[in-house]
Amino acid sequence: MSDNQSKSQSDMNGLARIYTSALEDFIPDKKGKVLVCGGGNKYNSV
Amino acid sequence: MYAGGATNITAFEAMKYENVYFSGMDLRHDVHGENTPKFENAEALSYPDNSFDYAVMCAAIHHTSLPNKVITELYRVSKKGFLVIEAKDSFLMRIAGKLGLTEGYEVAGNFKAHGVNGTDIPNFIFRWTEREVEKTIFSFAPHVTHRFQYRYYSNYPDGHGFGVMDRILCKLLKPVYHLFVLLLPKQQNSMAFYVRKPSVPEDLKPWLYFDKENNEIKVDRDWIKTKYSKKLSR
Repeated sequence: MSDNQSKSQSDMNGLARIYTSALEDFIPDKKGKVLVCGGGNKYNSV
Repeated sequence: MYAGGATNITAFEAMKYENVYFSGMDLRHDVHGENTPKFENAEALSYPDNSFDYAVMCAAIHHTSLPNKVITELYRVSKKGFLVIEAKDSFLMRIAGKLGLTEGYEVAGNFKAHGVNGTDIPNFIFRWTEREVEKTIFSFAPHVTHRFQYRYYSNYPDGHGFGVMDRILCKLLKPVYHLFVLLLPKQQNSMAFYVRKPSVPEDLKPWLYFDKENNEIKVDRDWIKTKYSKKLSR
């Protein structure tokens, strides 16, 4: 893993915490149809 | 492109949402095999209006060249509302920028296709204010009254990509930052905003009405005349 990927991974952990907290607050409806727009993939790219 | 891609999966898996459609802005379809979500240009989504109950975008809008257009697209395709998580513009962030503790352009974390619109060119980090969000939505949908909700968060930098002195300064300032944002929470560096989609006719502006017969929104000229008659007669 490169330095940059490592940076993104550590950023992502803080971001994931913020993300789940915001989802919980604003979209408690877990059965609703949700479009998620974002990055490219399940894994960090090179 | 990273741009919140892996975070999307992590967050939605953890929260056990049942009906989620992932789209990505990464043009390189070949590199991720079956894990590549459907490509979508966030500035011009392919979906019709109100296709989803909700739309969500986390830490990716600043990788586009038209951030305001992206949030109007999220508004357009969502039926109930949309959620965005992005960097927050604030007095504190501008000071941090002047001290070199945060970037204006995403250069240090740049890697292949991680720049603007999926290119290698480092993107500008568009940090939002509440007023920018509201003005964008007011302009896009001026016929209805909107409701905005905000939450503020801290994602303090860990010093990666910084020089030794900046890394030390960053560590020294950490307690000062946390004390400051404890007193002034809106000065934190991350913001989530949720825009609830208004209903028609309930949320129409008072100078408009819904003509059921023709299924269209019309201007209530009597309302305008009554409201502004004194001003107009001056």
